[in-house]
Amino acid sequence: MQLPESYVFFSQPKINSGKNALEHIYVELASMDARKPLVLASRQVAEQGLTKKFIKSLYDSNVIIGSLYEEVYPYHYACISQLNDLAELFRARGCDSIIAIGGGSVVDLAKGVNIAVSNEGSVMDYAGENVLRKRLKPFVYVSTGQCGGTETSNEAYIENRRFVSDFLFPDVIVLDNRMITSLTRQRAAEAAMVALTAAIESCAVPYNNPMNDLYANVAINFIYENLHGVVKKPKITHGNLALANAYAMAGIAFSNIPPGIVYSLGIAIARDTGLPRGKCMGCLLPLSLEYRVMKHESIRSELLYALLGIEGYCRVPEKDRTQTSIAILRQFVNDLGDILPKSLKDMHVSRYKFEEYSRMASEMSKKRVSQQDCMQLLDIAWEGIA
Amino acid sequence: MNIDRYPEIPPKNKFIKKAYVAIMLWIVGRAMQAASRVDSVVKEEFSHLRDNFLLRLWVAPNGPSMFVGKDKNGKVKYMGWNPRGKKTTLDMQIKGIEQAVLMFTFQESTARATSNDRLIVSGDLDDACSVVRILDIVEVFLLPKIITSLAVKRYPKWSQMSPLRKYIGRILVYIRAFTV
Repeated sequence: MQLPESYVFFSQPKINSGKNALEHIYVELASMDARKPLVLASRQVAEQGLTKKFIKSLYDSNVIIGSLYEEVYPYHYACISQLNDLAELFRARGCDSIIAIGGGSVVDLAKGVNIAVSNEGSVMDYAGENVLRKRLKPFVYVSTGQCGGTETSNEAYIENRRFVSDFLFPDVIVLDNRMITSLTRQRAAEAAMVALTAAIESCAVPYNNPMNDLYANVAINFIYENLHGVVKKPKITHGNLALANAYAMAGIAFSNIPPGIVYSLGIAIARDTGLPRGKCMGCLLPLSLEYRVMKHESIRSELLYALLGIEGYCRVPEKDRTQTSIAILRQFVNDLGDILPKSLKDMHVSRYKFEEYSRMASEMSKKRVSQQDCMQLLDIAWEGIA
Repeated sequence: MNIDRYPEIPPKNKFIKKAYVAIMLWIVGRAMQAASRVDSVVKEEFSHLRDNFLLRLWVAPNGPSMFVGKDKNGKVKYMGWNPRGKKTTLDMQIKGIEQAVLMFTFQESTARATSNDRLIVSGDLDDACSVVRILDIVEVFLLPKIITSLAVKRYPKWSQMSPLRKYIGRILVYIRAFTV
């Protein structure tokens, strides 16, 4: 690995993973001078009894839960009316920090509330990239093993608008065995595909960023080694925790690069059709790598290293490494069987909207990916054959 | 939004766990005092510590605590649990009651707990290392091998602690800890 001429890497969150990680929350809050958090959780989290476990973990501490709101709908977009109500609740209870339990919309909503209570004016005034200019209130994210792509990153989606700022990183990420629930096979595969896309695209950029590569490579490896086990036996605690770690790392790595072609297209399609992001990205990811090879673009051989580890990487001759890594990845996705659709046609995505998706994706990636490339990739993905 | 639907939730107490840890801290504190009079290695470890040495081992944020330090005559003494009027030179804080339970039920050794970020130490690092070594020896005296090997990093071999020293030390530590 070569040291690049220059690189920038930023990671705000402190990751607290493993046994009794929940019990560290009050120490982390105290270190940020906070002791009265507003806690947000989804209905699903409440039904699974996870909020009770969370409350128990704060026994014998100085932390008073300002309010516990368990009515966020998972797998929905964060909406502004709910956000404003929660901001009002935050102020009325005199809270000084926010804790989000769950994934996807819960975290987006928590980030939105944090923007609302830390800034003046409407939340929507801060939509866009790096509009926020002020540090937000302490924010703790407790993972339950879901991954929508934005939980551990510096972005949030509120009312379908994208907010990007380094102030949106969680301050603390808590990954505790007791809180990591077993998802359904479908949800587990979708979550892993979002994280895998984020990780692969963040280390597939032509210029290398050693810190980014470290995070991304570990994330890829954890997903590759644990996903199939978790899909077969969803209750494997260790596997689920490894995947949650991978999601956290992928999110951080992804925050340090502009979105790639698969991520941007996945978001664009998901936004329009309401399909899960993971499904869209899982369909596009292997095809995008094959498409890049077709275009004679280089794919860094470190991808194989991330997938197979040092021994597997060394066993493959240098010239075959790119092809081998793509073949392994393709096999990896195929082995998930019928969980992920193989083409956009199977997902009933409207073909006439491809141009619109391409435009949205190109804009999101700050023109890093061209509309033409997006169109070609979508055409390939329509049939699902490269 | 009806704010009253979402009330404040104050933290409850874990009395049983607190009581268990308090008893364990009392036993360990008394045993440290006893071991400093009985065992030459512990005595030597304490002799390297400063004259006004006072250790506070406690559970944050308001859990049980114990004080062990040197008195005016340089003798090691268990000084109770009350922090009032005491000036500690070494503060070892266990981050929470659950973390303390993990340590004092020997599910985690001191070294493992440190690496898992369950302890905060304020004071001289040399002193902290000495205290950890002393705690290890005290645990060897107090507990049977099967439990101690879970609590210490390495259980001492015969060459490091002869059975004679161990068993005589154990009897004397128990007698001194619970009687004197």
